[in-house]
Amino acid sequence: MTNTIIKLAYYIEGSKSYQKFRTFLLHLLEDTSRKEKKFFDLLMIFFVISTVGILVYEVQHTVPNILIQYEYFVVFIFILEWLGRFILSFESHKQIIRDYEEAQFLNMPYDIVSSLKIITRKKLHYVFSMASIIDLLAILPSYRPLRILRVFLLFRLFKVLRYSNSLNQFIKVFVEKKLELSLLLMLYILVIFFSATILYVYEGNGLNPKILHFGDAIYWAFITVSTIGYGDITPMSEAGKIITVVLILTSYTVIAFFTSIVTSSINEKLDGIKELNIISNIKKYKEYILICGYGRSGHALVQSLKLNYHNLLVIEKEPIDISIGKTDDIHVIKDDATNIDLLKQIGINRNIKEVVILTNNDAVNLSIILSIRSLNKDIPILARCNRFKTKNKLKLAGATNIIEINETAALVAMGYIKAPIAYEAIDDILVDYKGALMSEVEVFAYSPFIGQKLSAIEFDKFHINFIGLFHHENPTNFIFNPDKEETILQEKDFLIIIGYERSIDDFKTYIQSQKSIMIG
Amino acid sequence: MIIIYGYSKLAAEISFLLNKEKREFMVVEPEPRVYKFAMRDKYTDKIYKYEFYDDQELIDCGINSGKVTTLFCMHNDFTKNLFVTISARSLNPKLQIISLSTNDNDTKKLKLAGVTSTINPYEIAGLNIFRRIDKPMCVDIIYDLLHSDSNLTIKEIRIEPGSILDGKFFSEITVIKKHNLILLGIQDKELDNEFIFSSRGINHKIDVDDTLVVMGRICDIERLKEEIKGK
Repeated sequence: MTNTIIKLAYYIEGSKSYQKFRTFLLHLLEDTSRKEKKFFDLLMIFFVISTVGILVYEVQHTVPNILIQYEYFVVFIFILEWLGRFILSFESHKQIIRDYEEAQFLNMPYDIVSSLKIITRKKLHYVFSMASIIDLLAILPSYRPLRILRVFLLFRLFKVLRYSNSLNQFIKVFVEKKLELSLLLMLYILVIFFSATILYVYEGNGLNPKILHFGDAIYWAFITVSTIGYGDITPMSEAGKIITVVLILTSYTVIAFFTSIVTSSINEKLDGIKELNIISNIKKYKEYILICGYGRSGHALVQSLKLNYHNLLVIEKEPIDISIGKTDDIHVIKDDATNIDLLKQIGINRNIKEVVILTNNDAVNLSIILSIRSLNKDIPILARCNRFKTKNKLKLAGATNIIEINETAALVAMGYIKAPIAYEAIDDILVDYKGALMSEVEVFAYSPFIGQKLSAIEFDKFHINFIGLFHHENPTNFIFNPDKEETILQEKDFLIIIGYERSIDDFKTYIQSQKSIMIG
Repeated sequence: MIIIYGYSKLAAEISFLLNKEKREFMVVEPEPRVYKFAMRDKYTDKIYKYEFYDDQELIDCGINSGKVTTLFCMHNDFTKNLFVTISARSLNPKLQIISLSTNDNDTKKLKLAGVTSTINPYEIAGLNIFRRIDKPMCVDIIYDLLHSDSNLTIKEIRIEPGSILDGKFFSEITVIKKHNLILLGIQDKELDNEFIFSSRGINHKIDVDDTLVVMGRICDIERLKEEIKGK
């Protein structure tokens, strides 16, 4: 028996179809970045709302058979979902394998019962967790003998929460403010109980025909304190009226208190909700640039990146200085970029084209570099260096490129004194979007120009100035203005050109396919 | 002669580069504390302690003598830069004045005061990073062009009276290609000093006082200058 179970555990561990099944379930039920999960969530919300709708409809009408069948179908899906989550909750076979291998290692007899105990405990823990109970309550009342519990079907509505991340955050507000809210509740109960008792003492003795027992007094106090005031029970005695006034005054305080607690904590949560939203959005991008630190240079960078339709994400700890510029239309996460957990959540993956680190503190920059390198070794990192002496340390930490702000600016200053006209022109051609642009054109594998002389390319036709090229064999060596008759174009060569935006676009397609020759 | 007013971090970098290129320059620093700090760097003979609030001090430094070509206002205090810019401009209308500016508002005021160009290190850094991401190769080339120790450079050639290029059209010029140079464009005096790229202005006519911008090896550019010079 024990042997069979161990064999089974190993079989499951090695089984590819089990792994496939498990990742499928994970994608469907847990992984928020997946399309499947999103679709599944929407479907479930629809199921919940439609079946509750049937419940409401049922009150005054007879439900057609097809809807009853539909409800059974939905319940069936609910059961499958619950089972799926039950399977995902804990991997039993792993526990068996671990315990078994440990026993082997320690040369002790393997006791399957203890493993099974742990598994049972873990599984039961899941079954009685809040989420699972809501799921079960949504399923069980459909069973005929339990029809009485039909009201519990409304619990299905709670299931909706499960499928919506933002709604979940709102529930968390109540959990986090447990202390304040419970204090408030105590105060509330005290006020109600106190005034109900006074009213009952003065008017419960038959003076007020509507107050037959203590429950009526409680009901009256509750309706009054909530500012609803139906008026079906009104105080008759002097004392009763006085206590009503006191009660109303207190109720305002309590309501104000309650409102402020909930609003303030929702406000706090709102940033978190926005952040979650940003993160799930950013994961959909094929490629984006991560910028840590948003100061004046960050602003300049973001402006130019935006003009070129790059996707970006900014992480900045401090509130952003308004004098620098607005950040309405960019994704900003207000957090510490040295925080590895945050970076993990964002996912330092291949869809980050480049990480740019721009804070004005080299120690912070260093720490961010190390945090990122601990998660990913290959992503290009460009870091700002504020002191010349720390340059080496940033390199050592793993920055691929380092920019020293004053050094760069000094070079520009030199440009201005050496050749002001030329410098401004050349400065413009790198960023100016109206005038001419400098650009690099890669020769892709299927280009018809591969193996041909440079003179075969009709630069003049596109009004393009050819500056030079980078050979793929030696990508760091720029060859300025090579002889067009002697140079043979190869795959992965880069042509450096200056021209107008339109003609550059045309030229790129021309290099790739020679198509525009026909048009031109 | 180049004067650097204010020994900020940027000024330190600029003096480093100027020193490397063996250019003649002087640093003026009004504050005693910074002055002492500046004296610790190598070029002590070039550092002077002027306030520059008095025009006489500027004149003493030769601002209106024609010897000084460029004034860098690199003080960290914007108002001081503004003041010195106005004083220098009133003394010498032809002087190239380059000032440090860290935001657009300051730039506007400096422009009114008569500055030739402004430098915003943060903006430059931001743009530079953008270029590195977007066009890494182009940035490398531009840097090569700006660095003094590179063979490749970008130069301006003014058309003197009697030059062989006077009156020629862009499309007719073969002399530039002959020297293995690239003509980037021209700054035309008739068109309010607008810069015209060679790829657009094929039918553009070159006149005296226009400035050609060419790119290539330093020796080739010198040979070109020699050839087109008027007799």
